[in-house]
Amino acid sequence: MLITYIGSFTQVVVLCLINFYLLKANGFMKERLLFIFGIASIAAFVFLYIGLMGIFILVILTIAINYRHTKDKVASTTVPLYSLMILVLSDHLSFLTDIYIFNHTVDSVAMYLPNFLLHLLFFVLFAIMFSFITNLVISYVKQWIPFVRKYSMFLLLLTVLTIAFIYINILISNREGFSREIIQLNSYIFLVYVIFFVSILGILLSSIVKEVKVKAKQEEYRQLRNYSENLEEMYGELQKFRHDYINILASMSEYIRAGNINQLKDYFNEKVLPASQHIRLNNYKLGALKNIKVTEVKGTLVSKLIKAQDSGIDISIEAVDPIEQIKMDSISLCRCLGIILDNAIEETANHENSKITIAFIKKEKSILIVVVNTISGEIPKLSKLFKKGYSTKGENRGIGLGNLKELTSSYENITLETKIEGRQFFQGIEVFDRGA
Amino acid sequence: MLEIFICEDDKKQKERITKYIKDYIMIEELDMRVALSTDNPDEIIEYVQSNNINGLYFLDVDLKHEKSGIVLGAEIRKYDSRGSIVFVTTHSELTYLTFLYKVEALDYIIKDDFTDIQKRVIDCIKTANERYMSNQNETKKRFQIKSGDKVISEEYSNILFFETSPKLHKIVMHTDQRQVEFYGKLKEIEELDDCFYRCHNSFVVNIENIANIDKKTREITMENGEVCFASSRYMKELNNLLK
Repeated sequence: MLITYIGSFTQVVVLCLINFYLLKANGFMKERLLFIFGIASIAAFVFLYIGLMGIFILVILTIAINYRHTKDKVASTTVPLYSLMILVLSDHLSFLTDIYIFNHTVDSVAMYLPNFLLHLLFFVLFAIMFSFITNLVISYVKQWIPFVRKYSMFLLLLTVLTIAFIYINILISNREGFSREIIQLNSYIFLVYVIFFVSILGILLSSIVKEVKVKAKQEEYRQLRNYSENLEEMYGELQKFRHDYINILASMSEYIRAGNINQLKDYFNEKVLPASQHIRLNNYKLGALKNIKVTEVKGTLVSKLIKAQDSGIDISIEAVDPIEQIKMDSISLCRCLGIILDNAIEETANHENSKITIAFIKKEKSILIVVVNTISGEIPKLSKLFKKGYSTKGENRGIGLGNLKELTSSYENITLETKIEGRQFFQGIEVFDRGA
Repeated sequence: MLEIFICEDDKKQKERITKYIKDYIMIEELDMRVALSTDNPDEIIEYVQSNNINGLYFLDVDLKHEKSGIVLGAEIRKYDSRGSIVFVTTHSELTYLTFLYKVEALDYIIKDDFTDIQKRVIDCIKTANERYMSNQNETKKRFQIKSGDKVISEEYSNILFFETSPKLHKIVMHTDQRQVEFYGKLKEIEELDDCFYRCHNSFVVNIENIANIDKKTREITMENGEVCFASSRYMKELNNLLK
């Protein structure tokens, strides 16, 4: 009885700890401690009255509290199930240690307290090890997690199937009685299955990453083609201007030869001045792009510039110093730029006198990217803009600054600044050369 | 006194701008003077280095010198962090944001035939003067912190709360109109002033901008409706502070 109680208590505490550790939502300390203590105290009775399947009641309770804290359905469900997987695996590995290293029999572990405590110790050690490894892997692939979102249902299904498989196996073994052979066999099966599970995850992740990269390359290619088309167009206009220019000079020299200073004045004011204004306003705004040497970024900028110009927005770009490299993964960077510029374009489209300015500024230890756009309608509340899925154009339209924050938060060397000044909206991303 | 500097390599332009400035100071009887009008940026640096100055600088961007106006501006910033810098440029491609963010320029003037340079110069003097006067009379406390090579500055009364970012070392400052991230520690911030209170592991709140506190959910609603959180162990003292 004591052994059952200690065992179930420890297992449930470990389960909850792994769950909260991997869930990564900070805070709620007191509530969580209470939860762990409460659920662990009743665990023994649950197991006594309901049997092995009682664990699922506890898992469902954990899912509920996770959801209460994170409001994220998939993560709240996947993490406890995954923790349960670690739990079962650690338990079996610990049995293997008992059997092979200490020569304890399964029965002696279940009956004799010192043996049982040794078993628990190894169980906890294995659980800690697996959790740390998982955490390490998560932090390693963290920047790709936003891209994996659309496969989250698949991941959930995979975890549920794994748990189902493991528990069917355990139930059958339970009916046969846990003999040494069965535990050994199960341990090997679970180990192989978990390795299989992890490999599937790895393959899935790497293929998603590959897909994202290929898509980004395709997009880049398309954008650069747009860029060269634009340059050709500009060249054509330049040719036209050269032609006009020679004509203008010819007529001016005519007036000068005739000594007709008044007509020359009129001609200058009426023809030459407006023409030169026109040149300045025209599409020579792509010029500054030559200083942006990061091809992927250049591609994104071109496509957004063209999109903005097509919707009649006055957009310009500044890059005084050559920007050779930006210390951020280029796919994430392009996504950030895409979000900011799409928001700016969405805000300024359909309004008179709207303007977007983009600047790439090289500072001593960082590169600052600033996007400024005019605000036309009601001035939005800043805190609202950061809410998930918020957009001034109604639910789920814009991608929102929350995503931007999420994308940049995994980088230590990036800081964001967002501000509203009068009728101007500033968004700045500063990428430091090294993490500060 | 506000001291004015002009750095321009075209002699005619330099004299023209200097004359506009001197005339305006004389007519308006302003408390300022032209300290230096030169084509050599090093002279300005020397002067700024050896004197404690509150200046207004008119800098040509394309100087015929190894230093461009922008580099000069950045160097001036090191010695005169509150001075006002105005760039004078022929560049028709506008580089306004670059001026603004690289050296926190006050303004820029385009020297082509279509701009009324005199009016623009006078506008700049007016703004710089207003800024100078309000700096002189400033009594409000300001939060200032250097992060990288930018300085973040905000009046205490505008600040709602500070929040740690999920990554270590990064802090987000929330005001009604601005959210800015910088590198620092919450501990250093709560020690700055009595109005900053550490109400949670990851929040320091400005108690003067709290609208109300929900004791049940431990949500602190700020004057503008934004919400931050308190943890139970700080709740009691927070309530006492607000009484």
